Formats: sequence, structure tokens, C-alpha cells
Amino acid sequence: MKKLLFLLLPLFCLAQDLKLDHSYTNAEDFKVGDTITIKFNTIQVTNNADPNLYMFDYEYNNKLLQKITHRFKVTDNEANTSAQTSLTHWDGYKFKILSTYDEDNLSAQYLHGWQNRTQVEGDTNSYPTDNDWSVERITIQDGVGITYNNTLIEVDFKIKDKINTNYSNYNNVTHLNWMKAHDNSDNTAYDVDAMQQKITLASVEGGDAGSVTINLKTENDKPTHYKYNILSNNSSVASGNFDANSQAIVTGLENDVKYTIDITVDNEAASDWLDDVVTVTDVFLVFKEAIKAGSSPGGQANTFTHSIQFLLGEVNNSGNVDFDDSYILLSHIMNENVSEWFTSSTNGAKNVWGEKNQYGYSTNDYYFGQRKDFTPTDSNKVFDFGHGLIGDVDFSHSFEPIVQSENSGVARGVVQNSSENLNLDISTSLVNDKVELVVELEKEDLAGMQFVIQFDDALLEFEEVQFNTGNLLTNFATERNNKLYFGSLSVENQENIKPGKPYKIIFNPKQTITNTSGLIYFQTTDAVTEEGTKVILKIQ
Amino acid sequence: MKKLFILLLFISCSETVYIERPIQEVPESLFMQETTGLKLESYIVQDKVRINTKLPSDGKYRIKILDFSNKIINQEIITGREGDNILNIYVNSLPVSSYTVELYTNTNSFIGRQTFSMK
Repeated sequence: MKKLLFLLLPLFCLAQDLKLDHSYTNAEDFKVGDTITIKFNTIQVTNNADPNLYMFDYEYNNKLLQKITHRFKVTDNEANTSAQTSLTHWDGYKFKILSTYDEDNLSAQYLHGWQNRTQVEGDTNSYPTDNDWSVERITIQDGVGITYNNTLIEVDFKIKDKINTNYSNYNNVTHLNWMKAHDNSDNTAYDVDAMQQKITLASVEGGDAGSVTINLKTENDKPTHYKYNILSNNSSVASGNFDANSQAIVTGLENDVKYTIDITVDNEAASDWLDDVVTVTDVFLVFKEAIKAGSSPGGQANTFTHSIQFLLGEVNNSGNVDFDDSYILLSHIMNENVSEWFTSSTNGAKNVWGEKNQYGYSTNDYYFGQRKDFTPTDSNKVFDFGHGLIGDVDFSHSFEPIVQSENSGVARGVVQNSSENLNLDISTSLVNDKVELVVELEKEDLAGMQFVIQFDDALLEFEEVQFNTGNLLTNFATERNNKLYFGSLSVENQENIKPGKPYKIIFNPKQTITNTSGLIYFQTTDAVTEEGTKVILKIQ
Repeated sequence: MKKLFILLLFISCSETVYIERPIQEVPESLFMQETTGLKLESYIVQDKVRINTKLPSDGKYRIKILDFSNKIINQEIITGREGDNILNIYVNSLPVSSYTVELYTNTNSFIGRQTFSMK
């Protein structure tokens, strides 16, 4: 028996071919605000393991660390000067370890915990959302083996103050998630274990007691495109952009002093998405509100569920929401900008903001709840502000109020409390030397649909959209740069979009192509039912 | 002349018409030992990357491209042949990121999956 154990022991030890390690390069007396550098490298375990492809994910706690920059160092090694490198970054996700394999078995976590995770029964999501964490994927490939023990990449972080977080220490601020190590020449997969899998910063001193956190509340997933400007007596005392975590950490403010804050969208940074704010759902809701259709056509009730929607839906500066507003928004999605009073790439962002608990709640002091002041104290250094955009009545890019004005007379639960999911089949194919995109629809009660697709205009030229939606619908298709906006809306609410294949888009290739994969990016989709319910489209 | 005669004789006597398929040339970088699956020529991609979709039989198949949140951002229906099919993934219309490519039958039975990152 003892002999058998001795025989098996080396077999277990040989199971790994290499290790992935990461560690900080700085001395240990850390202070808040310090910059630390974390380096990643591999260590050889088995002599003949010679991978030339590395792909690995790690994550860091973005409440405690703020990424500054990174530098690939692998190409500094004489043997790998031609290595190709890539780093991609996502905020708001955390790896869910597949518990049937050891956490430090990085190659198993890659193969089963990530690559084939959708086949794990009851546990298919490897990256659930988690606002406290950011994920980075590092890929390195070379024509020769990637050398061991040398630094692959260095990443610099700034240590954040934990004062306004839910964390009491700096334990486990990073984590190695998984790793793929292959020899591409013969497709050999190597086993990888983690060496130091998590980094803990043992003692971090200091911390500015005057650190004030401003949290931006918006449905938009581009918080870094929002700017803040903090004023005291009309003079700016601090300004900047929100970070990827929708936060601004501001120092230099005084306790018990009232400040005001401006929160605006950076129009230049946002030029790519400002035209996506107003969609068919907004047009449909404003139209229903204008005719006082309520939750059913022909009724006399409000469609809006929050009073602030009257501010967001008033897009011609007339003071009321009426037919003119709906036609202005309809014109926008049909590529005509006939008013300067709503959010679009032509007009820029039209910003609305207010302290979260007041936003949307009108009083004599705060028009539609736009309370823009705050006062830091010893006990309160965190402030939340909601932000909205004029035209965005379905709150797709705006914060939905958490309070309701008294006697506002608005109906509840029409849009915000009800949305439904719909599976949709959209595909491209090469047909008679042309690229066709076809949308297939089974649902019968859709009053509006809109798609935004982006295409490779170096290879494709837009030819036409063939609509097969019904006789009474308003169809639209607009090409702007390399984007195509198309869809339909039942303006009079008399007919729904016909199921089947309502849209076929045709492109002409500018050069010979073998197939169509990747040529068209399905960017955004939007739909609304005849009842005004927002439909979240999921492509199957 | 004798060869031509034999060829004409064969054509005139044969009832079944055999259609020769061109042999799909598979570069070494896309060679797969498995009978079906998906292989990328490179895992860091710029402009486009060649892929090998090795199919179990002739027919229609789906190539899906998914972003980090597993949302399908592109889907192509191809008409493929049994065995190796060398195609391209064009990436210039996609935001710079990392994507997963998946191969399915037309009725959505899974065949293969690979991940690439953009340069």
C-alpha cells in the first residue's frame, strides 16, 4: 500500500505543467493614494512544456484599487520580441469559480469554468455581474515558446480609500481566474496552476477624511462619459469625469459647506450613442400620452408613470406634452432633427439631474426634484445623484425616480414595472454574392421595433431595406456613417408589426468575401408592445 | 484521340453523373484531428481571422459571435460541406474587445467554441 502511494504521488505532482503567478513589486508600507505595480509571470514545472499561446483572466476589486495603466513586458525578452499582445477590460463582473474543480487549477477553470460553462447544469454563468469587480483578459501569442520567469505584463493601480466602501481591509484585492496555455503548433494544452492566486495589501495607512464620494445614478452603461463640476459660491472647486464604477471621489471639500453640482454628458465622448437615447419606445409612449390613451387605446388616463416623464417628453419647449412632441421624436428616428430641445448627436445631451431622493419629486424649491446641492458632514460623505436626458421617457439612458410626486395623476406600472423578454432570430448570409441580414419575428403584438446595426463599410455598401411589416405602419431606415437605423412604428396604433420576416437588409460587398461573419455588429435593439410595454429583445 | 474516345464512351454510357468536389485545402494552422469542430488561425485578431468549421455533413450551420456578457452580436447562417470549410471572421465593425465564436447546427445543436481577442 505504501509503495502504491509513493507510486501515485509523483503522478499527482506531474499533473501541472506550469504556474501563473502575480505579485506586487513595491515595498510594503502602503498608503491610500499610493501607486502599486503588479507583475504577472509564469513558472515552469514540467521540462518539456513549451506553450506559445497564453490567455488568462484576472480580476481586481475596483472599490479598493483604481487601474491606472499597464505595460506589456513580454516583448522585452529576447526570445519573444515578436510576440503579439492584447488586453481587454470589463467593469462590473466577477468570476464564479466552478466548485467541482480546485480554484487554483487555472486550466480546469478555463476549460470547464469558462469555455464550456454553458454546459454545466444549473451553473452556466461564469461571469455574473458584480459592481465591485473589474475583469481583464490578457492574450499573448508568439511563433516560439513564451519564456518563463520573465514578467509578461505590469499593471499599475492606485490604492483607493476604503472609507466609503463595504470593505474593512485590503484582503484579496486581486484574483487569478483562469488560464489557457497552448502550443499552437500541435494544439497541446498544458495544465496550469496558480502560484499566488490572490493579493492582499496587509496594512494600508492614511485616508483622507475629507474624501467625498459622488455616485452617479443612470441606466446608461457609459458612466465615464459624464462630467461633474462642483461649485461653491458659483466658483468651481472640483471637476472631472465619473469613473467606470459611476463614482467621483472628490477631495478638498470642507465639512458643513453647501456645494452645488453640475452633472452633464461629455458630448464629444458621447457622440456615438446620443442618437440611441430616443427610440421607438419613447416615440410610442409620448404619442400615447399625447392622446391620453393610458394603458389602452381610447382611454383617458395618463400613460406616463412618473411626473418627470412630462419633463423628459416635452421636446419642443412648449410647456406641454402633445402630438408635436411625438412627431418631433418620430422625426428623429427617421433622421430629421426638427427641434433643438431634446437629446441627439445634433443637439447634444439635454441634461436633468438631482439628488437621488428628490429627483423626480417636484416641490416649490426643486422643479421636478432637481435638487443640485449637497453638504458634506463628519457623518455623511456619500451623495447620490440621479441623471436623466430630455427625450428619454422610457429611462433607457436615465435614472428612474424612486419617489412619486403627490397628486401627479399619473398611472403606475405601465412601462417601468413591466417589461418582457422576446427571443429573436437575426442572421446574415451570403446570397447571390450579396450580404443579406434577415430579422425573423414570431410575436404578434409589437407596435414598434427599432434596430441599430454597425457594418464594415470598407467591405460593405448598404443597398436597401425590404420591409414586409404591414400596410399601416410607418417604416424607417437611415444610414449614418457606418451605422444603419431601421424599424417600424404603428403611429396610429391601428396595426401591429406583421410576424414572419419583416425586415431584410441588403448590402453589396465591395470586394470578394468568403462569408459574412463579423461584418455586421448587432448594436442595439428596442421594441414596444401595443400596450406600451417595453420588450427586451434577445437574439438567439 | 484514344483517350477522348474512351471519355466520350464513358459519358455516353453512364447514367449517374458524379460531381467532383474540389478538395478543400487546409493550412497546417487550421488542421483539426477531430471529426467536427471549430478552429481559429490566431487568437489575437486584427482585420480578419481565418477559421476552420469542420462539419459532420452537408447543410446549413450557424456561426455566432458573442460578447463578454454572452450577448449575440453577430450570427451568420452558412451552407457548408462535410469536412473542412475555411472561412473568415471579419472584425473591423466590432468594438475592440474579446469575443467568443460558436458553431451550431441550423437547429442550434452545439458543435464548437473558441475565444479570440482583438489587437
